[in-house]
Order: sequence, then C-alpha cells, then structure tokens
Amino acid sequence: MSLDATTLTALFDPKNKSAQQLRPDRQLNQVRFSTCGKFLLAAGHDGRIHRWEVGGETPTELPAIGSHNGWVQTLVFRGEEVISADSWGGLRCGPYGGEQPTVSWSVPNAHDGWILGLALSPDGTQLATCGNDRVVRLWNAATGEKQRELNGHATEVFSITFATDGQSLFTGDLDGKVKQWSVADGSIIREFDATTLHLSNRLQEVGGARTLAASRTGHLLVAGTKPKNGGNVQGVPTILVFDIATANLTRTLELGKEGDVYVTDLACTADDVWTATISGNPGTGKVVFFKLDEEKPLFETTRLPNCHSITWHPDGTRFAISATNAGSNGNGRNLAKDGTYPGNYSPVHLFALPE
Amino acid sequence: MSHHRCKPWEHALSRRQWLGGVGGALALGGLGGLICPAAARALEQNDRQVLFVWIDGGMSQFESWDPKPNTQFGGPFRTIPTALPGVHFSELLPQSAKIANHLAVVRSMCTQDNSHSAGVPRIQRGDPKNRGVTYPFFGSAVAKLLGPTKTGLPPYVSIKPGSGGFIYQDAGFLGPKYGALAFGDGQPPENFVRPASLTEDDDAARNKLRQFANAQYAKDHRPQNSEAQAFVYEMAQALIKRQDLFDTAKLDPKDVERYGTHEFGRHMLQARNMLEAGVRFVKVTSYGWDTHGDNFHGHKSLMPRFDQAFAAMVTDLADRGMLDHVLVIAMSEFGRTPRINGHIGRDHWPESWSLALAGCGLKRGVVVGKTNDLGTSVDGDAFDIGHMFHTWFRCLGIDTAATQYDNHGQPLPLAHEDTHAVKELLA
Repeated sequence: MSLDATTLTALFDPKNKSAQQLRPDRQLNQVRFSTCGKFLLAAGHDGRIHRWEVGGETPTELPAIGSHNGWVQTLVFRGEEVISADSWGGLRCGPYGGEQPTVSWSVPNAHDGWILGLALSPDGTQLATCGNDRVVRLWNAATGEKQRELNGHATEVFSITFATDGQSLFTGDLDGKVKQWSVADGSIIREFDATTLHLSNRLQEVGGARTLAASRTGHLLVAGTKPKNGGNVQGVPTILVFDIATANLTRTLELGKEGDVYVTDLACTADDVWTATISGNPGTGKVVFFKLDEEKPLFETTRLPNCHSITWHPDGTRFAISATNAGSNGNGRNLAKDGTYPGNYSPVHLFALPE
Repeated sequence: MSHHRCKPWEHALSRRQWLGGVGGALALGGLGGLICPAAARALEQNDRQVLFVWIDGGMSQFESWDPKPNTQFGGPFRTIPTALPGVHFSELLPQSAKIANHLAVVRSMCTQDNSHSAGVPRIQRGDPKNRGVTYPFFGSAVAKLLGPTKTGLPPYVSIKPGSGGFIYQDAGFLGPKYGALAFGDGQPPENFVRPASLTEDDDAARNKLRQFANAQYAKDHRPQNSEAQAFVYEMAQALIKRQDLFDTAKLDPKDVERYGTHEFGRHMLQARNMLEAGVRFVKVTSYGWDTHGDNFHGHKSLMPRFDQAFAAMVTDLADRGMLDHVLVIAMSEFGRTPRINGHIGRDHWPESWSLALAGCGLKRGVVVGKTNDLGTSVDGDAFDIGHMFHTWFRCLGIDTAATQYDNHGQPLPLAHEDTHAVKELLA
C-alpha cells in the first residue's frame, strides 16, 4: 500500500478506530521501533527507556529499563541491543528484550553533560555522539571504547547522523553550522550553512540545527526553526535541504507559522516519503508528510498536539508518533481533580497503513 | 506677596507635623519634606548602597538556585557542589557555585501574582497593603530614604537594554523626583557633553542665571517644584563630571573579559563602576527569561552569561571590601513551573521560587528556606516579597518598625506590616 494523501487523510481521521494510543506516565524525548520490529522503545524524561511489545494486535507495555540519570535523550538499535544516551552525559548499551534486560557496557561520563545526538554507522560498528560540551566523539559500538574525538564546533552540538555510505558523519550546532567529517581520519570535508536556523536575541542564542537526516538521494536535511525571538521561542518550523556533494542549499521548506516553532524529528520511508513532526506553543503540533522532489507536502495534520518524535516500523506498514497531552501548560498551581499537582506525559499514537 | 493660587493642603498641617513627631515614630515626608530632620540626617550619613539585578521574565529555580535532579520535574541538568558544604546549585551556575560563601540564597519565596504585567510592579513595590496609593519601587524608596551619597551622583539609576530616559513611574506617591534615571544599553543621557560652542565660563554663567531664576520662582511657589528642578540639574552636573562611567575605552580589558562582552556582562561591569563611583542604587535589568518554550536550551544559553557577570561582580565587591556596605539582590518576578509543558518550557510559578542576595547586613554563605523534594511547594516557612523588603531595609540600616512614610499626612509603612524581616538572613 503506497502512502498517499487519501490514505493519510483516512488514517488521521478522528473516526479512524484503527489508531492505537499508548500512555506512558512520563514525557518522552524520542520513540523508535526496534530493528526486529517487535518492540517500540521510548526515551523518557524519567531516566528510563519505556518499552512496549508491538508484535501482536495489541501493544503490551513491558517494564521500563535503564538506569540513566536525568533524561534519556536518544536511542539507537544495534542488533538485539539498544544504545541510549542521557542528559548527564551517560551512554548505555544492553539488550532491549526480556523482562529484566542487562547492561552490556556503559560509559557514565561519555560527555560532560547533555548528550544531544546519537548515531550508529550503517554497518553497526561505530557509534557517534555529540552534546552540550561542543564535542563529537566516535566509539566502538560493541564495546563502548572511545575511538576518536572531533573538535571544531564553537557551540553546543545538537544533531548528528552518518552518511548513507558510512564514510562520513554530519553534525549540526546551535549556530546553525553543519560539518561533514571524514570517519576515517576525522578531517572536515565540507561545511553547510544553516545559520538561518539561529538567532542571537538579547542574552540568548536561539534555535540551531536540531535534527539532521541524510537521504538516499544525496541530500542533507537540516531541521529546526527560523527563530523570531528567545524566551518563549517563536519561529517558523523549517527544513533546509542541501546537496551533499556541493553543500549548496537546494530547497527551503517552511512548514508552519511562527507559533509552530520547531521541527522536532524526521523519518523517511523506503519510498522516500519524509515525515516531520512539529511542536511549538502548547496545544500546537503538526505532522507533515512530504517528498523532496514535490513542491507541496503530501499531507499534513494538526490533530496531535506538540509532537516530538516519529518512527516508522521496519516493515513500512506502521508508524508511531509521540505527542503531548492536552492542557499541558498553565501558570501557577493547576491541580488535578484529586488535588495533586500532575505532570505531563507523551501519548504515543500508533498508525497502521490499511492493507 | 503670593501670586499663585494656593491649594488647600499647602496651608494644612498634617497630624504628625502638628505633633512634631511625638509618639516615637519617625515620619519622612513624601512631597512635604522631612518631619524629623535629625533622624533623617542620620540616614543621610548612611553609606549603604544597593545593586539590584532584575532578571525579567522569571528565572527558573530548577535551573539555578534550587535544582531537583532525577525527580519528576527536575529537568535534564545535573547539579554541582558549591563552596558551601552540602549545598548544590544547577550545573548552569559554576561560577556562582564557587562564590556561594558570599551569598545568601532564599529558596522559599512564595508570592501572590503569576502575571508579568501586574507581578513585576507588585514585586518591585513590595506588594504592600492596598491603601489607595501607588507605592514606590525599592530603588525609589532607597533614593528617598537615603538620598544620594556624598558624591551627589543620581541616587537611583537603571542600566537596561533598549531605551533610556527618566522612569518617574517608579517613584509612586513619593513624587517623580525619586524616579529612576535609566541608561539605555548603558549609554549616557542625550546632550550629555557640553557642546564645543559653549565654553566652561559660559556654562557656569548660565547655571548661575538658572539658579537665580529658580530662586525667584521659589519665593512665590511651592518649594517642591523648584527643589525638583534644582535636583535634576545638580544630579546632571554631578553625572557630567563622571563621563568616564560611560567611556568603554577606559575599561580594563581583563574586566571586560571576566564580566563578558555580552549585554549583561557590559551592564554589570558598568554597574560595578557606578557603585564604586558612589551611586546609591544601581539596577541592572536582563530581559528574555520568560521561557515558556524551549526552557532548557534557553537556560543553557542564558544562565552562563548571568553566572559569569554575577559571580564577577560579587567577587569584585568582596575583594574591594564593598560587600560590607553594598546590598546585592538578584531576582525575578517569580520562578517557573515544575511541570514541563508541550513546548518543553516552564510557565510562571510564584508558589515556590528562589532569589540570591549578598552583602551588607546579611549572613554570608547561607541558604534560607527549602522546597519539598519535587519542588512543588515550600517546605516550612514561606516568604513573600514583603519579608524581603523588611529584610533589605534592615540591611540598609532602616528600621521598618520605627520608620514610616508621610504621604500628605497619611502615614504609610515602608513594607507590608503583616510580614517581617527574615532573621535567618540577617547578620
């Protein structure tokens, strides 16, 4: 079944009963289907990796795993293991299945502070990390041994991804500067100018290259926002599309209004349909499906508030989006009906393409 | 012979004027002058000064003075130890952590207003009881109570981003004379430099003529008008003699580097120089802290710049022995919610938040008050802004129990009378 506007319209129709919703008890940074397709894992604000078994008709929640500190920010799969990174600078690797998964290796101080990006090389041998400490590091994915450090960013490094051939690595920072590094020797091959995704406003540096993705078609997508101001950040969610070979900007996709703010995640299907999740002011949120060679998006919906992550099942028939509960904001002490002060959470919406 | 139309109150004597201050209370006239000159003179001998750092918008207590790592609302950041054993700040305050031995941090603020528009003036006026008058901002109050220092420099200045000018509204019922002289982006007022076409002798002659005209005017009119006019010119003359305070070429490059070349660093360095020059009350404002969205990356960017300049300032004041007579206050109008919203931001939170103090009259190296494990409420005694006003006045040598304003015969307490100074803070 191909992905087209008609299919997507039906999928996101509120009357569609086939969509399922998972309700973790915390907010999530990222959701990802495992490479085997049987599990959905999510990086939580509570230092845990939330898990669901999704092989059957009804997803089953499993005990959360991980003993991270701070937030689990991001995760990648390597065979039957998941490698996860947290906001205190810790890296962890271990099996993701089973009731009580163990730890294969961990590096508590892989970075000085928040690890913002994590990427696995296409051959699964190397891990790349980046973070608030402005450093990029390469690791042996099997053992957690540090292999190389790449220094060159002048600000926090938000995003990281390997090229599809695994020979180079892209990293994007707060200033909107994106670098392509040689994996073999750590040299900088070329740089991409995404500085329109950055703004100096009063005392704050705003925006940055928040998400990177390399396409099969030789393009680099750099996503974030075109910031209008700091504080309560406003900006137009934007994806800059570069030709990797020339570093030229070939296309700019502006996917919303100023209150929609950030493109938070990107995913691509085998048919080169891209999905972007967008989150801005509380209660706003978009999911946009688009193709790089088409002028207008295939489909977009504002049905899900504050979407932060998108993942496609490896079989290409399902996808999951983490959003945010309604009514997530409010000044002062807004109590629940039982008198407690409630936290927010990230419902995960599961969609299956019709057969 | 009087040529102007008198107003009734010009012939009235207030109850306190009539009683001549009998009753043991010291009343300081608003527009009407001072009732007990001896005590007022005593206050005028006071060499105390104030640095008031206003973090506009709401600094998050979680990402600064009262972190709650690894809790439901704690956010992504770590904590770091400080110079005070057992006390941790957010990892975003490494410099302030090193000088925590100079600080008095209050973690148990609980105030009434969660809006900016009402909350900012409410906080800066001390949120007194409503008596139908507009209370002065703290800077105006100090300008009135203590006046300029012996240097004669303007008693209440405000270094702020954006435009400058004279912010008379700060003074409330005290009258515009006690407003803030604002330096936009630290720039001096317009027409600050005498034009080349005007010689010093000509300038002196013009001033003599102005003073003569003012004295003639004063014979037949209320004294307040001519006093205000004279005050403005005298302040301007004192300031003009200190043009170095606005000359960035005169700054030590090492200081510039220590404070930071960003806006807040530049303004704090200028504030230090103004305090050294003898300005009574210096306010430095930083905007842009209302992080309803992208709070964590926002604070990651904002906090280091605050931290750098704030720590440099406290260190310099300590090294110069100035913490003995300068009161340092760093605060916002409220804190930020424990709950993290869908824009990964925190909203307004007056329920349990923090501020940082240092300097004269205060204990050093203390943390007063605490919040519960989640940071959702104060655990123990909570302090409103009235408590802080009582405390700050006490630090400046002003006894709020024995001192009142006199607003045309209406006695007014300096601070909310249902609150009190926080003894845990006082040295």
